[in-house]
Amino acid sequence: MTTRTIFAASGSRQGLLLTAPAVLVVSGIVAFAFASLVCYSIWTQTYLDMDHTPTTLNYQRFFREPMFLFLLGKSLLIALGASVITVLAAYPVAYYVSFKVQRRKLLWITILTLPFWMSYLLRVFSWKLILGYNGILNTGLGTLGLISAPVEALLHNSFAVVLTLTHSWAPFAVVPIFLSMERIDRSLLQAAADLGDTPLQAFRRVVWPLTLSGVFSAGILIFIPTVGDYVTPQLVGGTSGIMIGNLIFAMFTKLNNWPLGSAIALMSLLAIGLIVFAASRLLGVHKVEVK
Amino acid sequence: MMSGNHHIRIEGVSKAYGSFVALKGIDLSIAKGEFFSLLGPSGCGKTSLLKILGGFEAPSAGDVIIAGTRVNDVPPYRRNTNMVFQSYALFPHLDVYANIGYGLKRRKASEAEKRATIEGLIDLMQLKGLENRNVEKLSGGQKQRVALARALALKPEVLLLDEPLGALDKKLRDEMQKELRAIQQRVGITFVFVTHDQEEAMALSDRVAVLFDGRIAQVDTPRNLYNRPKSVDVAQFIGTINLFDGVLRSATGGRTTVESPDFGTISVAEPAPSTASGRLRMAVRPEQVAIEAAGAAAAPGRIAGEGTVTALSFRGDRSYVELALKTSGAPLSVVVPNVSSSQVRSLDVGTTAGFSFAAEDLLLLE
Repeated sequence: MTTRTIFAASGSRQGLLLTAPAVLVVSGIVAFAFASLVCYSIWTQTYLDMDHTPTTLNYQRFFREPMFLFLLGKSLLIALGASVITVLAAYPVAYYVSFKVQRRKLLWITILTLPFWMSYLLRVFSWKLILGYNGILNTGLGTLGLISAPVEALLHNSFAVVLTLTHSWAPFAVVPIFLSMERIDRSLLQAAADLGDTPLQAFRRVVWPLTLSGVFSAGILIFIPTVGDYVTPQLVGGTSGIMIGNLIFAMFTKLNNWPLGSAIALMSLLAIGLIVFAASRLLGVHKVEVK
Repeated sequence: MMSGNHHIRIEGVSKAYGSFVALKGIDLSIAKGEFFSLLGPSGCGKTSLLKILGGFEAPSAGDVIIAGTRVNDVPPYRRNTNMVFQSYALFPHLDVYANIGYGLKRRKASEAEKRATIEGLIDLMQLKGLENRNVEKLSGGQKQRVALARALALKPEVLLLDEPLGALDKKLRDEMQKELRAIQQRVGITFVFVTHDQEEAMALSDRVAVLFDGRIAQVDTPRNLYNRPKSVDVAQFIGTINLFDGVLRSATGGRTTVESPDFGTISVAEPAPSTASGRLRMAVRPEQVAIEAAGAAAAPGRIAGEGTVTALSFRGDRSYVELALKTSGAPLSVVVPNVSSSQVRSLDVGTTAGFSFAAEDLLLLE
């Protein structure tokens, strides 16, 4: 096919041709990684060697030992909490920039994504400095005389993990919500007002349903990577803030049990997939057409 | 118009956006049940005025009174006006039925009553069978009718229409014009219609306000706007018109004597326009001019002249003849119906042609 005929092809076909190389590379790599995980999960680690006889023992162990399911459940809850809080915090910010800011919206968005310009590790670590025993918060409150002794409950728990994750992922939530708001034809708000809606009613009946897909994608965007996060829990979570990601990480490193690690990873993947699917059904997002 | 009949009164309304002044002291009154158009080129302020009527913008000065109540500070959701938006502004997440019923949802009426209202409008707008269609999948004409039905569902006192037919193709537009007029007569609501299309304004309206540059140039019936424009601007905006320069000689008892290089001294039964310099403009519509044999004397009550044909254009049912007047060289357009005895057939570019028009058709403008 000559260049000429490629560009003469119909829109969708042309699109397909142009995205094909990227799609092939990405799907190839993903398929390879996924297949490796599946293979490992049905093998057995025997000290330094790998027993390649297919077995479901790793999965059995995952469901038999309560710690695994408990950690997965806890990770899902922490990720869900972080996603919900982040989206709730990001929504008004996106709303303000989209509907109230008249000029230089792009500058606002750039400033909002500023935390992203810094290393993820540093961002997490800075929370350690703020929340720690001799941290900024404790020192500050102590100097003001509001507390007599430093509060230990700030760091090394699930709360610190959720707080840190929320801060880290906030820009990821603002952008999709902001974009879904930008797509709303402003005359729709005038039409709603014209038809008798107060601003609050217009928000509930027009803006909210039209931004639901943005809210949902923001939630997913945060939920998926935070379930398996192991850096934040390790740095600010302590022993009580440990998540499934830490366990998988340990399986692939210190504990040197790749098969069990793979099985846990696949089970996490399955759980995330089911939750995302259920949530999209529940919110009716599949009905909203993405333009 | 009787003063008690004023449904909408706009008194000295001005609107400024920063340093840009969109409206400069507008005074208007619109009668109940009237089809009233705001006509003007883009940027003349007609849409700003409509937005002020709808409550989307507050006037910088002046008052808006609807049905006897000053509504300057009343937000759109508390006004008994409804708007048909230029872009339709249909809610993309709702189907046709829910769009039409959008405003009714909050109203204190039984569900059965609401359903009857919506279904009545679906019948009126010929949208039967499309109730559950996604509004994005409708044609332009259908969207237009949904927008109209949605606005009429609340039985507003005043319906505001912002160039609602602008996005439709010519054929559909003609159809919608007829429908719009018929619907307005059936529902008896006051319509305020914004358009830049003078033909559309004339075809639909009881009265038209012509706006230029934030001011009202003239408010009149379509017939008067065309036949009795009060200024050169209005005359040129509504249809096409021929203009000649003249000098005022005398004006007594409603008769005016004017001298012009092309027509000599002529006397017209029309009061003279106010002119400080004594110079004025004379105007005549192209279709009011007839082609005559060159050198023919003027019949009684008619004004005659001669010119050189500069262009001829055949348009089927009519022909356009462009002349350059003999003395001044001023251009004159003539529209001639193509009847069998038409004088036009003997014309050719470069030949001399005579023409005449009735003295009463000549307008005197400032």
